[in-house]
Amino acid sequence: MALPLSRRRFAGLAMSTAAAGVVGACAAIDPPARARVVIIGGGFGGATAAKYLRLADPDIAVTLLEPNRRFITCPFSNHVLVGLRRMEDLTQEYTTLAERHGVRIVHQAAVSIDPVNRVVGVADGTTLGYDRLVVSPGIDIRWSAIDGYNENTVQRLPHAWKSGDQVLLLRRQLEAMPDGGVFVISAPPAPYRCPPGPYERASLVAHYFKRAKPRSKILILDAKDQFSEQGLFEDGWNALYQGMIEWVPLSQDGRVTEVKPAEMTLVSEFGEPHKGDVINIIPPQYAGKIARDAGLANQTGWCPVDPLTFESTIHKNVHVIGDACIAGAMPKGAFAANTQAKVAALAIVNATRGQPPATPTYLSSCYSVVAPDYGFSVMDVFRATAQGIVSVPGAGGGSRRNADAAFRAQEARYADGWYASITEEIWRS
Amino acid sequence: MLLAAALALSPSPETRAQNADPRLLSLSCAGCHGPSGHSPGTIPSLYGRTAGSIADTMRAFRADRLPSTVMGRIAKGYNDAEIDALAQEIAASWK
Repeated sequence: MALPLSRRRFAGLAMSTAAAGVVGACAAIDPPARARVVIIGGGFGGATAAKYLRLADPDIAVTLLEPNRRFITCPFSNHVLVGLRRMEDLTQEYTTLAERHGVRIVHQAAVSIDPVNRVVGVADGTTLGYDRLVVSPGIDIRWSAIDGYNENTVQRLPHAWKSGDQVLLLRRQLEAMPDGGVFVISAPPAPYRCPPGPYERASLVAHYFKRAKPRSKILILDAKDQFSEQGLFEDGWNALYQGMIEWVPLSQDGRVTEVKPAEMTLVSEFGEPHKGDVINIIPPQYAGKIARDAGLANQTGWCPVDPLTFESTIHKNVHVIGDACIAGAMPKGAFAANTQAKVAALAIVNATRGQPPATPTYLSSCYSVVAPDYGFSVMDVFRATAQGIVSVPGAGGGSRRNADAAFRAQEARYADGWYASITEEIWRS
Repeated sequence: MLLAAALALSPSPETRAQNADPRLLSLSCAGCHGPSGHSPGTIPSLYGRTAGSIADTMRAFRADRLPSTVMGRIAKGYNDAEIDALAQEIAASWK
């Protein structure tokens, strides 16, 4: 309908915004944006926020800062790891956000945030002023948490916990591993990105081993005593991969404290060495660097926010969404980031109009597969309360155990549908 | 303070003081059912349905009268007013 008009109008806005930074007073030529929003990070959180800000209010000028030309998703990267999908299938473009929604995409990294003067520093030396800032940087690896694990070690012991090259590297290592080898996964303490992810990874690697290298084993050394959807995973392992996967919890000395890459050995808390033919360290994590550098994180390494709006409780006019924020009972994952972004976007629109935020509702929808035809899910509905974001009692939870094969196959098909829908919603519509 | 405590302790969604915003309710659905309820994959689309049919289906899921993989778990998170509001929002805006 009014799309071409709003696109033209946005082109004018973007120009006036850019010019204002340099000369200061071109607003007379172009209609001024009612508000300028800058978004840092074009993943599930940031890209969703960009789209819904523009849909909810075309008079808001939105600039998305994302260094990568294309976004490679973490969801379904375990499938790529074992050859069930190609990396191209996980690669998302920003064209629709730019052309249909009039989001100004700047393929640069944000390097600084000045929350007092409301200015973002960009890697190319320019600056962007904002009325509201959305910070959606995802996670970073806590390099200091495991002795010997650093930027130089990740080629030999990949984390593959950010999608892309690390996933392909780990895939090549698994392909090169001889039959009868041991694949070791070091699983992190909570909270971390994608709670069921390490266990889905173990499952899909077992699926690959079962066909290609049936004498091989998988050892999970865990910094926790329980994990997400544990019963469902263990049921799946018993049904499909009997004797292939061993899980060592924290209380049985599962926490890895040191890596010895030259010897392909991990050392756990009480000094026990564990040798692997291929080793995947999924390290402890915290909020992305830009958020921590800007002082948006507290002592936990994550960013506290208002549960109604996702505005930082540390810096005003800055909203932190996605894996980087502390969202109470919500898990760190793509779907959570997607619903947080919608709440934050509408809260920002209301704030620019001097209106209170709408009453939020949050959803999390996480699918895991143990094999291509064996899936399950954990669903939760959340509310903002005085105690933060809590899950609604009596709702949500994991898939029922002891379901039949048809039920598991249906959930695996829905896992595929989940990916198709959420990526379509964010990047292609 | 009292209100906050009541909110936090409310045993069921029916007794909550504030219902969620209808737009945010419907946008929650889009993550799985696709943009404006147009699902490109295996999950059923939601566009083009009447408010009555959406609300009835949600209530049937909530009461476990209709078998489901996930919708029973999700529908239990919303009260009657919210189910009606999201059904009306979807019927009105998802064409």
